[in-house]
Amino acid sequence: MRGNWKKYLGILAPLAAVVAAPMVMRETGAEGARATEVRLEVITPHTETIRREFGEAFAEHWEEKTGESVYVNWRVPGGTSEIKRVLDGAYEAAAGIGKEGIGIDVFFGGGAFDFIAQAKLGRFETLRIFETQPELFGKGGIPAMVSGEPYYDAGHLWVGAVLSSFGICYNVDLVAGRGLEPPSRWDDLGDPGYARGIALADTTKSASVTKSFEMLVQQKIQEELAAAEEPEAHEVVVARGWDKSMRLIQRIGANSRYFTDSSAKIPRDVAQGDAVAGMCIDFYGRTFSEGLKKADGTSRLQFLTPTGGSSISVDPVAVLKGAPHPELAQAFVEFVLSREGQMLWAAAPGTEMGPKYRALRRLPIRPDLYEGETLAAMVDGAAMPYEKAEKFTYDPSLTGHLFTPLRNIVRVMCIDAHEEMKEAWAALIAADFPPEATAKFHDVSAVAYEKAGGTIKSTLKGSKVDAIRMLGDLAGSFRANYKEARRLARKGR
Amino acid sequence: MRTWKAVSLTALVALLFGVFFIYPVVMVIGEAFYDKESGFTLAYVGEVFSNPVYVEGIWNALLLGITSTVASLLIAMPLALLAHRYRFPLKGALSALILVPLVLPPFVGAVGVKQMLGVKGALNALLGELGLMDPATPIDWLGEGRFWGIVIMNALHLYPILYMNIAAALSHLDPAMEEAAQNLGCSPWRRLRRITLPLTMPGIFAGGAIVFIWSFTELGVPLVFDYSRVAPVQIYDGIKDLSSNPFPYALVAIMLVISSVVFLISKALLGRSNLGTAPRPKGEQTEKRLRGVKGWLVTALFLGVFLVASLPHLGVIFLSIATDWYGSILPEGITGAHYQEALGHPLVVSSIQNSLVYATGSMLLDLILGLAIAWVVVRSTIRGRALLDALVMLPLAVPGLVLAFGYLALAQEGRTFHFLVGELQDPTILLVIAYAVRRLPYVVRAAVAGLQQSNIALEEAALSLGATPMRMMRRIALPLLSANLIAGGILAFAFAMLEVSDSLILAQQAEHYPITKAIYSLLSMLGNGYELASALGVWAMVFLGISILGAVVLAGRRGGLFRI
Repeated sequence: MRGNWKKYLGILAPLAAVVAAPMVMRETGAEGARATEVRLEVITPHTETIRREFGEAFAEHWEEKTGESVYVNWRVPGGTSEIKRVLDGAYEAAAGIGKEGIGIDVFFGGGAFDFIAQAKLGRFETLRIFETQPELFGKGGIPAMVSGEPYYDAGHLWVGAVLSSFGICYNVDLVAGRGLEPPSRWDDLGDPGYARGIALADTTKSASVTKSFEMLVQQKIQEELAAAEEPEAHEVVVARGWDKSMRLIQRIGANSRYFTDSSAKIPRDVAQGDAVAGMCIDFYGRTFSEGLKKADGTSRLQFLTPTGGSSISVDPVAVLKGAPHPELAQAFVEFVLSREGQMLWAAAPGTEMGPKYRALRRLPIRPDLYEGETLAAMVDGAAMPYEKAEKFTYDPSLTGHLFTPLRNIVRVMCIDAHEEMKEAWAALIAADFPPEATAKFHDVSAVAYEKAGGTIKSTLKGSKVDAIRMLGDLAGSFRANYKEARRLARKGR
Repeated sequence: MRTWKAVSLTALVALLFGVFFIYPVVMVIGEAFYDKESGFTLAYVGEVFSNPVYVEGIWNALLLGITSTVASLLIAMPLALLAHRYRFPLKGALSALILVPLVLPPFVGAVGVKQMLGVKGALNALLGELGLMDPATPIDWLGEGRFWGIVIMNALHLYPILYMNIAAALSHLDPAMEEAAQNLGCSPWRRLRRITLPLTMPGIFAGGAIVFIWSFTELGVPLVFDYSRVAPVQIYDGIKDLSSNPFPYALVAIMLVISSVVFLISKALLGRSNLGTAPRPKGEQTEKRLRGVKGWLVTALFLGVFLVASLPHLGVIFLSIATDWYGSILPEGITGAHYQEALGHPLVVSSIQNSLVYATGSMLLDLILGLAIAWVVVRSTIRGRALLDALVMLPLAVPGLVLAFGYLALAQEGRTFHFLVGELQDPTILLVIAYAVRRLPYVVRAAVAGLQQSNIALEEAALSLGATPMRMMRRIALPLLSANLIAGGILAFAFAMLEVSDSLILAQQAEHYPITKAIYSLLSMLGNGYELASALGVWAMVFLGISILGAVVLAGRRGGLFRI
């Protein structure tokens, strides 16, 4: 060893410097995990940006109100599918030993779909806020449902905390480079000019993505109904509108590069030019667009809410059954829905009402805040979600019962058969859409309206093996169609 | 080794492995073999084979695994041989640098690749500048590259595993054997084919098995290339599906069976050197000095491989200091702000401490267990040891999510592993074990290869001269094995530091986050999340780079693994 100390020093010194760097650069404050006794346990898929703001703001609010210090201990196992795993496993184990709770107080964020499922399993406590502040849910307050999307639970087990919607983001350079008009509605993404350039979110992994597709279907059916001649039967027109929407989904799917479950991937890929346009959650789109703004005010990434056929859903909050700190948990929900908590989502950072570190750029759920000084303080108040939602009347009788079938139809038609689909699409484009091949490509009879609501829906509800078998068969029929369409297109037929 | 000792060691190792690997995994994938009505069922497995999309997915994964392994070997073998035979300019630095591409931080590695190869990436910008490509119709490398793109990325990422194992094997080679062949008039090619290659086979096999299983089950790279028809991506998609159908677990089970079958077959064909174990090298290896152009050509080769393999890393490094980087060869402007913000973030310091604890703990556990398992596999004659050897490889083939789901369920109150996390839900012990299980194959493979090459006669001599088994271990066996153990230990430590799937789910509270989860959290920050994650990723790369170089420099002298 002796004589080698220089060697050791040569390695240990840089190593020590590397380890020391973050310790020196550490921001002070924002600590306190160990200093405080009370920990509110909150399980969430929300991003670090949101966690940090809400954690610190609630702790300050609580201390001001009661003089007690509290630490929000975020539990982050991943996205909603991992949270479901955690809750399932923990409640199952708790039931095994006769316990009611699982040591977690609050479930914050995710989609209404996940909250409805958990509520059905009896995992939520009734929320106090519906009694203490009924005015929030009265006239002019938070509606129970908007365009088929529930905003709170009828049994008061969960409540929406913030709005969220899917829009379109696109890369200005690439759209111009391909000689396309900027997109303004979902239909535009089916233009063959976008071939291999669309980034799509995955319907199988997210209910809110499926909801966006449902709105697109809904819009197509309504257009068809509006244009229908009198003597035609209602069901015939609805079925035709459904078929048209399926073909539109095929075109968009054929243009797409991938279907992802990562919300940040799409705006990033579009911003970096790896995709031309994509389906994008509103606050991601706005933040990326803003971040790339140049001195002259232009940005290469644009975000828009397409006209008509867009759905606004909520990210809810709920108190878990057997919460170790029920009082504090209820207070957290009340804080999130208070004016103070709501404005954290929307106001500019550093302003009186705003967050400390970064703009969250999300839209509050409380309609009463979209006026006066609170509206003025919102960074994206101009989006006026409630006004927009009113312009489109959602008819649940048309598509409401087809939610689960639709998710699986998109999967078999576009995701499972994606390779064959893209090849067929390329052949169609190259041959300028010869009629026979195009008809084969767009043959959606396997997933017609009455089948979607009939055999497809009932099989999905039945045994899991049967469901898998049916999905495999459906995907197989689409693959066969696409292969045949490619063959025909190459022959110019 | 006495039989009763081997049996009890095997029993102990098998017990640990059974409890911490097989039990949780079977619990999770067991879902795919159970039906509410009929009990045990093979219906899901049957569905995998009757669905052409999944058959194609498995087939593609198999092809990716095989071609990636061959490609890695084509890179690693010549480099290892050159480094073994010759002395050339900058050899010391280069033979250590060549390992660094292994250290690619998760998540941001993919981002780095995209910065380089994207439509508006650096490569296209360079080609445009050089006039080799029309900027109006850029090449979509990632969209078009697909299969071969994935193979190249895999090979450039994984060749260090083979290189390390081959280098360790070569260091055991007795120069006398090669010299004898040379003196008898053997041509260099013939000598390579008849002497050097057969003698290094254990090392090639050790590295090749890992590279194969790794690329066969690789998820991240196919995702970067948007290549969805490959089994690991299909499994990932299925597990995340809202319908919670147990079908993907049937696919996992099939992947496990294929991995073990391929492993056992190739072990039977290649696993042992057919020349028997070589005696320990008696003299110092004589390296030939390459002078002039020849020497510099070899240097250029090493440097070239290093640079090409570092492209994703360069992407991450540039991104971490970029103001904006889009459609240009280099970032538009340079800033230190991302480092300031990322390293200053309250999550970072504790996550570094946690990662060091998790990775060091699991590496030590792996070294002890790995050595014990290797001993049983190589030195004992008990039946079933080949099976034990194959079993130990399986953690590489199990998707991290599956094992993590198993641990998660078992760590709940009232369940088997709850005592490991306690009331405070502190996952430290659980994570150390989880990390160790998943990285055990690296150490086992390295130790098995070392034991196969080292001469048992030396151990027997020590024992017969009255040394206690412990003393024999300390003075004879371990020093002879040190090159292999260092190689395995480095891999186990580095990959534990870069662990993703277990820790994402099991370390739920900020105070237990490892560094990778801190990177993941930064990535999801709005606005400049990718740049922040890159900055912390660069930190991790630098730390691991120095650690690896340090381990090689400090230990190379004794192990003879990398002469510097």
